Amino acid sequence: MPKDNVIFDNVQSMELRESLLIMRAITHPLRLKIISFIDKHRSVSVHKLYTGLNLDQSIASQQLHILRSANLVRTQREGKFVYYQINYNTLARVNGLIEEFRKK
Amino acid sequence: MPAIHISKLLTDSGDEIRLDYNNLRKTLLVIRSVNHKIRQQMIHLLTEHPRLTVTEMYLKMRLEQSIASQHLAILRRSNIVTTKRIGKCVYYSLNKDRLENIGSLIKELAKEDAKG
Repeated sequence: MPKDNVIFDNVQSMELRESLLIMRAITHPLRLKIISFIDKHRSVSVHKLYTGLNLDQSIASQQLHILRSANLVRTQREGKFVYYQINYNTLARVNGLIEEFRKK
Repeated sequence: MPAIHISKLLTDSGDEIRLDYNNLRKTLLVIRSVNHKIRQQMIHLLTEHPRLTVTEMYLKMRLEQSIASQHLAILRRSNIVTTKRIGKCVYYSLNKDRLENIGSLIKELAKEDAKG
């Protein structure tokens, strides 16, 4: 058997885990809707997001946490408020990698 | 679900971001197909033995035939293994180019995640 941490072609199990984290975060209809909403408004608070999309606050927070863990959105604090923005460069690179892979 | 178009002017490259749920889902399924101990063992086995029948595989791996067939079907759907019929036997082989493409996708995606 190969070494524990190498899966194939030098892919480490850590890399597989991280790639799945980002793929699972983005491959989700509600989270795609959230990404689109944040993009349209450029910068949104959790409150604006859950009222705008008619979601439970807890669900909105949970989904934002997943998007943030995957580095697809980032936060900016202004006083007491936290605003969410799209991490455009990461989103563009991730989507570009996927599109390129689908063409092969 | 229709594709979502994201403002392209906000990226460094100026490329359009068109998020297509179906493409994302298909790609996720491909990556998930290598995320399993048994399927990873199968890939390793086929690296050492360029072509094997299901019977040879389940005997070497000490698996039930139905389990081996199930996992091979998943690898086949991802196009990681290919089959060839010779006489009465069906032989399984590794699609090395495909595996290499999947490997580099995983590595590149992991780099993006690590930046967070």
